[in-house]
Amino acid sequence: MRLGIFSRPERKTAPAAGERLVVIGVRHHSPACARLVRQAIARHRPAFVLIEGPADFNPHLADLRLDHQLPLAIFSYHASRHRSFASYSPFCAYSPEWEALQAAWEVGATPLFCDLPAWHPDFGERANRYADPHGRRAAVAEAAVAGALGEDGRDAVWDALAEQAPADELERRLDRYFDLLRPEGGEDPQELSRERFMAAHAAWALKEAQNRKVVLVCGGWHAEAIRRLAREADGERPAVPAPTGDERAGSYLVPYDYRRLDRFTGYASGMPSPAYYEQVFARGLDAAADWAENAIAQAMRAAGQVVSTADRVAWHTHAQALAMARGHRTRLRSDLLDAALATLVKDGLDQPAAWSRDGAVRAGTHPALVAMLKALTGERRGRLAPGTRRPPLITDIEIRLAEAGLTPDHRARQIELDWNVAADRERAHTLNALRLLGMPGLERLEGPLAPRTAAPRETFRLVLHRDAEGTLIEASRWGGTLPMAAAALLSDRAAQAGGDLKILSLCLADALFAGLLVLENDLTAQLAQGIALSHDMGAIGAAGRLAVQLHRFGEIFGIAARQALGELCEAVFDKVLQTAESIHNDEEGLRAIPAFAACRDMLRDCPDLDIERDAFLATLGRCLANAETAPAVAGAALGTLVACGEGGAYDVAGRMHRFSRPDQLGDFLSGLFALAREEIAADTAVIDAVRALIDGWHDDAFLTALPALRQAFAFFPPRERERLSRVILRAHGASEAQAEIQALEWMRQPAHVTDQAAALALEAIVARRLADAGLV
Amino acid sequence: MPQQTAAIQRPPAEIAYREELDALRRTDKGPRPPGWALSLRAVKSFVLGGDGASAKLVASPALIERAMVTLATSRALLLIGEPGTAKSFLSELLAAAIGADSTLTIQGGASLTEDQIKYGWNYALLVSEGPSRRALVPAPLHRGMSDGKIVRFEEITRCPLEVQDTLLSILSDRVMAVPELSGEDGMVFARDGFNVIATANTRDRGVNEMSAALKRRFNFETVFPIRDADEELALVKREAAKLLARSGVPAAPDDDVLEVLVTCFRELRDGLSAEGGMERLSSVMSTAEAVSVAHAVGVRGHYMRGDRGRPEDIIECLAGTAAKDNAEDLTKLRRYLEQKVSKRSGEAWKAFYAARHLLTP
Repeated sequence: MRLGIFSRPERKTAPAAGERLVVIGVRHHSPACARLVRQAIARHRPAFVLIEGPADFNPHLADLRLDHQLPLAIFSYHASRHRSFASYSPFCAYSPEWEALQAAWEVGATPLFCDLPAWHPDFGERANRYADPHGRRAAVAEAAVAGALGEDGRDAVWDALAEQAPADELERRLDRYFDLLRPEGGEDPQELSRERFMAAHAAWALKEAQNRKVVLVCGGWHAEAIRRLAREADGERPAVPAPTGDERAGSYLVPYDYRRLDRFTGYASGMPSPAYYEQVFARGLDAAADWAENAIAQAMRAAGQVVSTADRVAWHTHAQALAMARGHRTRLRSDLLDAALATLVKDGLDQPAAWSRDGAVRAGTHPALVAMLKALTGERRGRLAPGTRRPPLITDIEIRLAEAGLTPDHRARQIELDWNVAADRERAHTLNALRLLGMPGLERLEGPLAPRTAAPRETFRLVLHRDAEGTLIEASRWGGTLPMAAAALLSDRAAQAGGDLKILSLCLADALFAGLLVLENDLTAQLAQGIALSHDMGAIGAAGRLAVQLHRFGEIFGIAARQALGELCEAVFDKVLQTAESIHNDEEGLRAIPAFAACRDMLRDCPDLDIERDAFLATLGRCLANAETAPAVAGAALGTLVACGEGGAYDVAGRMHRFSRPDQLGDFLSGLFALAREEIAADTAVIDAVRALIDGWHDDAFLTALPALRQAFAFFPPRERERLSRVILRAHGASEAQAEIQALEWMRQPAHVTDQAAALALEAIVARRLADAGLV
Repeated sequence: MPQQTAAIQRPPAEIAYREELDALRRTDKGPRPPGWALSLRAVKSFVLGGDGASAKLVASPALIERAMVTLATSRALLLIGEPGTAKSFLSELLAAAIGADSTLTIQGGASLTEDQIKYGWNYALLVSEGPSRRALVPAPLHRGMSDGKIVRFEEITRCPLEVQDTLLSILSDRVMAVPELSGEDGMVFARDGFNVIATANTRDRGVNEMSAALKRRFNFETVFPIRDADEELALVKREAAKLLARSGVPAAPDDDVLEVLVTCFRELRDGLSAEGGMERLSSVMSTAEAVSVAHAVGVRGHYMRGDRGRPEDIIECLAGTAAKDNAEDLTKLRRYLEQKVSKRSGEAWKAFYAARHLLTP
């Protein structure tokens, strides 16, 4: 070892004789630490074994004694109006915490979790209680240790330092290692309240234990700080914080799996390669290395890579030589992987090997390396023992499924539902709500994406899935019953959406299909709030039209949904009311037309909505009077007034003159026709006015206006367009019969309109040139 | 340094670092693989620094360990990576430390022939005496095998496949037949210590075209650009100072100028800046390239203005580097200056940004 790394004078770390508190600092998920913990508990035979884990789980410790199949995790959640948070404390066969529990029960000690509940604000946003701490200082110290030992990466350092350490030396090495990361347990403000809480438990246990010892198992990061703080604590048992008022919190066991436990694939996990370390724990480093060679060779062959016997010989030799060169007692994980990299991979890499750096495997990693790491991850999945305490949500779901005759079975079945049948509707609500919770084994094979006024038909596929229980336990963070949980999840999604109406529309659809759109939950308010936040008038219009349509005709979604939809309509109405006057951009104006149409429908056809009719009409009037208003908005405003029977006060033809420039008229008419097509079609004065305007234009002006005009008249169905043609032809002096024939021809033009326009443009140029040359 | 080497522009590693090697040899107590001049530990110290030796290269220790172990076993070593990642230098250092001779080098290229690898003939002698050991001119592979030394094969993927494949039987059987000669001279058996270090760069004709049989006889090691920014900066500083001293420039560019240079190279290489993701250049932005830009900046400053080089000099030199392979890169570089560099504070960054108009192809 190089100087400067361990140059501080040796500190007396061994507990003084007679000191009754034994704090064992471990690295979570370390087999060596697990062994150490078991030996220590057997040696000290303490009265209490305190373990870093959620103290609110203590009343349910017996759950952990059942005959589970590891790995599993304590899942903790906390939900309030403002935040929903979940955290895991995972255990596998070689977890020091798990060994501590087992050993405590074996020697008759009382095991207790002594850390803050995961939902406590001071716990922070940690998703995994047993993830390694990632302080900046610690990283520097770790890099220094790695440099001194000549190892590459934190995991390699750990294996060299701890996993291969002789049993009698391990404790001393760990103390020095953790002291190096955090000298003398110096204060860490982020962890202080957790450490205080654990230390207070220790002090209390010491008092309770009288003359017997107390063992405390915690992350090595905390060990020295807890020793120090325990001496300062008063010996009172710290009260486990309880959630207040409308907060919900809980901790339940869930099955876990090695993939989630692995640092390379899971998130915020601790040690990598769980299947390998399981072998290390069960059979030792040598046997684990042999196992790993077999597992990797098999995995690579399965992935289609050639691993010949000669390759395996070269690999094995290389690994042994590396272990010798690095002074390892036997082939460690880094030796195996490094040797495999050197001997089996015949390509250049795009980035350094994943095991020499922190974090998950990155995109672009060589497939052979991915296969190797996956082989060491393993596929073990945990299973809970029967009789394990379960959250109320699971029971609620089971009852609902049983009542609906939908209890999943090993054999997959297809369920076809027709919303016209009341019983099917109920079942559809249940299945759609479960789909929202992400229940594995349930798939919606067919069904409309967006709700329509017609009764939907849906097809689901349902099968019993091994992950279903775990997923639903984890979904209990959202609520105690299926509707509660699904609605809370949707409201959260709606709240996250901000003003993104695409997501909000999906939420609305999901809510309707799952029968969750009722006024009692937050969801409707959340969606309404999203609409208020949105700036996209086009999307608001689309959402508004859907809402008003469903409000009027969507009785299939129930009376409660109708009320909630009414509330959404009101939100859209308010939004349009607020923004109508501020649209001055032509494009934006055209996009806003559907929003006006939605409002028109509400004004005209929904008398039971609580909307400010007079204010809206006044706003429209102001839009019309303002010369800055985008032409499409002005047209839409006028159209709305006309459609609501308020047009009498306005001279439509006169208003049109204000927007009669060739680049404006088309947009204005688009707005007008979109909103009041029927009324305008009957009003020949308007058509006459348009005709008169166009007659006054040059060909150039007409060509400028043509695309927008065509778009405007597209709002009329063909039959009405033909009728309008007749009116125009008659006005130009054609007889009734001529007009009829000509109009019919106009509707069935053989040449494409764009070609005609091009011809017109060419003619105009020719005429101008002739005129310039004085030939006309 | 001995007098006679002063005139040599660039002495080979075993001469340049003779004293370090001697010292390591004296103190080295570790077990040595057969034919090796040093133990694995001492070789590693020689390359990465330690045990009294200076650090010559920034690389992951695991890479050096794997490379040494490969050379000590029956497979040859192939170093691959982007240009300018010190592959050749690493192979030189390893050859100097292991066999005390880094000069047995075959330079790969399109015109390489078998006799430049194995052996050729002194034709005057051949005609007058017929084939004999005296008439044979040993090429690096012949010498390496008979003396038990490391043979370096630079840019192996640039030579024709059939020439590459002459290595096949030599690497597996460790014997080279000289059919023209009879008796002992007809078979050259490799002595302990012989092995091959080849280098290949990922920008040229790739290793994909190597025959599977030859690939099997090599262990591949990818050499990456330096991971740590501070280490790269220190290296650029050190190497640029050396080069500048040799060019007669007394002072290296200021630290903040070099920091701008190295940061800029790293960001353009990785496509990742302090402000977030960006486009990476397809041109090679290697550490070696950064050193040569730093060198050029120093030379410009000293000989053209009499100062130590300014940030705007970087721009002038960058255009040549970045637009070497791809004209598109110049556009990307311009975007980088406009969008990322414009937001940075600090004198050097500001000057760097202000000189962006100098960026012309």
